[in-house]
Amino acid sequence: MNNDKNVISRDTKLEDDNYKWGFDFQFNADNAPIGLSEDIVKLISSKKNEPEWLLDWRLKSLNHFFKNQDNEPEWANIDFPKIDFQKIRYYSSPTDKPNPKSLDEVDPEMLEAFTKLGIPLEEQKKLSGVAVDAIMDSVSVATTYQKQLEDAGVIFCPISEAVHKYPELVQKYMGSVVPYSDNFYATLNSAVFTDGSFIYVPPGVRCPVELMTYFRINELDTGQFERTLIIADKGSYVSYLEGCTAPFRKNNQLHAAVVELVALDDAEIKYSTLQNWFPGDTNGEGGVYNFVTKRGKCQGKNSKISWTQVETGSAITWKYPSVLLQGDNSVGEFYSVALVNNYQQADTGTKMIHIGKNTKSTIIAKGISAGKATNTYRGQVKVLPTAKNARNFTQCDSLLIGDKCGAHTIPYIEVKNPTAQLEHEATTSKVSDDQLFYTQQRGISLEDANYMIINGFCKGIFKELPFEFAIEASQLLRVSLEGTVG
Amino acid sequence: MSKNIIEIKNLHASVEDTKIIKGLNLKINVGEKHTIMGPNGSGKSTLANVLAGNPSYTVDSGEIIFMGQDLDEMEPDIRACIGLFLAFQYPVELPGVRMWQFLKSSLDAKREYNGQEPLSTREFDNLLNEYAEKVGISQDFIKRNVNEGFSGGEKKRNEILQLSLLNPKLAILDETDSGLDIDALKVVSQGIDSFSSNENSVLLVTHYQRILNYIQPDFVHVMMDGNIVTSGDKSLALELEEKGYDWLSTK
Amino acid sequence: MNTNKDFLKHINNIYTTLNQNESVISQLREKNMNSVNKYGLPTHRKGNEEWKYSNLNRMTDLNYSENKSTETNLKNINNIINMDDFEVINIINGQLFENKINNQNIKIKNLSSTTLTINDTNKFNSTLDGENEEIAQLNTALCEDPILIEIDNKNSVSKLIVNIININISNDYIINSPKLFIEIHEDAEFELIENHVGEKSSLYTSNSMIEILVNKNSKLSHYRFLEDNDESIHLNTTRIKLMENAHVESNAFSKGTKLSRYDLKIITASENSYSELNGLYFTSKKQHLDNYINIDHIAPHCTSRINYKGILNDESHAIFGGTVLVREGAIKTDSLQSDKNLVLSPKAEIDSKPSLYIFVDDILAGHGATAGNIDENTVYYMQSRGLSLELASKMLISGFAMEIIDKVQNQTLFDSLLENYVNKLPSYTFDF
Repeated sequence: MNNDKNVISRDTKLEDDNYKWGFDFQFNADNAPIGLSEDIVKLISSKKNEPEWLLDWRLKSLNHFFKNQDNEPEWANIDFPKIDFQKIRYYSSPTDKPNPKSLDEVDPEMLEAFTKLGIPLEEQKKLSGVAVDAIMDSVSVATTYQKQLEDAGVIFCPISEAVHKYPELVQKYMGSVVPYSDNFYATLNSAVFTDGSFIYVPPGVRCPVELMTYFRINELDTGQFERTLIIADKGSYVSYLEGCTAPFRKNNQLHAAVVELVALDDAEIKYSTLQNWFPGDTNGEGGVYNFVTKRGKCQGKNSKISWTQVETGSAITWKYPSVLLQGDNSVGEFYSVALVNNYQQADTGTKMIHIGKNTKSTIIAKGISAGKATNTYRGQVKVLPTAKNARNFTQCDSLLIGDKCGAHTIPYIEVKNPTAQLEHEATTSKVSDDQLFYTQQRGISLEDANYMIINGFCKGIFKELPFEFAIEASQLLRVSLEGTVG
Repeated sequence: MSKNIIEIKNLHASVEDTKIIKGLNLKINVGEKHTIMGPNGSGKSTLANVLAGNPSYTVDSGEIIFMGQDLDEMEPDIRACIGLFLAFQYPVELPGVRMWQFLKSSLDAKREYNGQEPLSTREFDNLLNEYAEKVGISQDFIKRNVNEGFSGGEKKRNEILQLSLLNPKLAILDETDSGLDIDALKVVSQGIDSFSSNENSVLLVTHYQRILNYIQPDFVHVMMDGNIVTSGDKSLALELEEKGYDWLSTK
Repeated sequence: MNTNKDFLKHINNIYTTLNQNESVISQLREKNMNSVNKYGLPTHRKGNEEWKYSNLNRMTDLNYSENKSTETNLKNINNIINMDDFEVINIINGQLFENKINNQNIKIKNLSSTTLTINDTNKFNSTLDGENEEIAQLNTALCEDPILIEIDNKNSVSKLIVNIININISNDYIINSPKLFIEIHEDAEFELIENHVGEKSSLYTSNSMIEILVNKNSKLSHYRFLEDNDESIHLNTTRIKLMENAHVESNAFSKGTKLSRYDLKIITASENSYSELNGLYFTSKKQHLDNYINIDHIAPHCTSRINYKGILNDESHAIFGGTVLVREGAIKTDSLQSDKNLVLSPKAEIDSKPSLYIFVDDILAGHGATAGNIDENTVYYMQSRGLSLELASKMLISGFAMEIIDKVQNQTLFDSLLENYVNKLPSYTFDF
């Protein structure tokens, strides 16, 4: 038997039209001038009619950004031309009415656009059991299921709205997990963030529906800087999903979001991401630069924060959803599938910082590399002297498809307490010829066999996603894998 | 003669604030073989571990008198030295610790506690070889690390080897029979049988009646929800086999 | 307190004194001195992943003297190895001092005896260029007496102990830069015991470098003992290049010092080589020990194993870093990397960063790392057999160490390790 038939191809052919979310919607956009300055920050703030303290915070951040603008992080295993932050547009609103009060006020074209993306917002068509906040470029366009949420006392609204309606909550928690000075991109975000979701779940409330935000970058040359803040008060539970797409563009688009989660005593936050930003074409042109700071703080005892992400998009990903395990007995989890193809580069992973007693963390990361892409898992598990009996288990598995791609695993295990038990395991391999042959021999095409095996490889992560998302994730995987064998 | 070896009085014990044993009483005399049976979660294994002094379990109240001594607050190693042995349900692997070294150190510790000289290497080897052969543990195993890479059956045989070697007053066997094939079960039963004499006692904790085909207990106790609900002779075990535990909970 | 700048000035002075005469090595020194001046010393500032956990200020802050004593009294050297079964050379403060070799198969050339030629060194030094070799460059710039050892012994085994000895009677630190080139010719077998020691009360920085070329079908058994004294700075760069079918087993036994860093890199230059890198490190007091263990898989069909274990006590800080790099073309590579740590004290710190960089799909690679204390259940099991808490912990700690010591094939060394290493490991008092 000639084994070569099963050899996985060197150059993957993922055609542009495989990116089925690449529509470009034509709207009458309200764009700020290109470039970064104090005036732009003031403009953004005034567009949103923000209170004084927020403008001050933005300006403080901008100041810090200018002071440190030569210190862009270089340690990550990614390679890209230097970004000119003066060539980015920091604000773009797709309509003249930035904050619709109800769905009736939403531009019908916009509703149509979201329907096309598979996210119908109209009341009669909306996704069952999922409340959606749709964000186009920088502005929230619609939030569904408002009534049910109100009844439960759950606040789910654009952060720009929360600033006015719930200023004390926003002021108390914004920047409490990711300070404006945290890192280069978080600082930039703090200065120019435009919109994002705000969630507050009151004590003892189990949020009745899944909450979802759908992000989309549409305008050319527009940076997207959302800011999400989720607070789960004592004994509450919330599951939140975010979906992300961007149209096909020859230029790179910058996305530098900040997500902050706060879980108080006995609260649980489940945060799931399905990220399919445009990854660039087969020549590596275009695509989103995804430089995101996501961090959760298990502030209360027995609290839990769980990150699940399935990522197939973005030209470059720089992202480490983290958990600060501050409360005693708190739990942090990170489940991730990252697939890169063509010229994509991902440097992603997590940080688990154990501070409280009996804190536990679990990390399961699956990386798949194809084409000429590189995928780096970078994960830090840190046990501080106060974290008595901390436990961590980490497993990272990488699959390589073809011999031009790269899969790298970089754990940082830092222990300052002798009662800690940490375990890290990692493997790197390819889909074996035997597995493919065995599957093919049962009559399954090579491509299906490959998908089947890789889907199996990711299954443990998909099951962490809410059901509808799990199916979508699986389909996304299939589309992204097309052309990688044969 | 009927001298009691262990007496448990109104024992209450818990794990991480969950009460498991609730007011249990049991007396075992020299030369007797007792069996404790019961459904999963009834507290059988907890009892075995509390007797051996597992630090994960807390005695909330009650008394355990073993060989005339109160076991309260006594370290597990001292309990072992005065003659209490627990064959573990899940024997622990000791990476890098050789069988020989482990067994010799255990026996030496016990002898030292009882004011005896340690055995010479030759004496110990002779003893070890004799017992190892009986339980079907080959010389190769003696050179390996304790329980590391042992199959389930090999681990249980190793427990029986240690039982023979340390020759305790009371042997507590915590589900030593579970997960064994019929051959291993025979070897393990024979080991227990040949250990047992009218100078020592056995407390066999088990879920299945199967091992009682090989070992004849004098008493059978049934444990449910943290206490002994009924006691009898071997016929009780046969009745349980037939009717299951549900019959007792509705009784 | 001195600065980095003072340190660089000091080494430039040493270099100037050392490199006055033209010799086969002077150009090499010059080139590397220029590199040191160009790149400086590695910093641990954010972004330098290779020096993330070690700060060279512990070395540069010290007061240095330019004058080395000629004291050669070895009576205060604590030696853990029985030398009788081996050929021995002694290098004191970077100079070949004694050559007691009788074996015809081991040939020694050195600068002082002027037998060393530039051709000898040309086949080495492949790894010194670039920005990330500052410590190797520093060694080469300051090397006192480079030594070439050639092993040519078809079908027999040569065993050599290289004692790298440091002595200083002054109250300031001295810096020693021993340098060794070793070539193992085809079909040869060599046991190298590299023994780093220092006189008990001497203050010194020992920055040694060893480059080994393992030719086709030959085998190297490498043993490294880091027994430098508590106050010393120990830096070592080891590069081992493997040709076709070469086989290397390296066993490193390290105790911590004020600051020590072991930078080992294996280069698989040709097909079908096998490398097994074992290490045991034991740190106590306020010691700082950094293991930086790397394998560069270039050729296909090579196997590598990294198996390091650490025992940390008191306020010590140990690091395991290292990279397994599998380059494009290195198909059928089979690589496993493991680092396990036993942390015995609430003030000890371990940082473990075992990285994998894989650029080809047809390979098998894995790594694992653990950190933690002795398992409570395990101790209970042992106690239930009558062992005291202290004895149980001692058995477990030495059992942990034995996994590495068991890999030592040489009986003399094995016995030395049992006597001098295992028996000195601590036991642990538990708070559970």
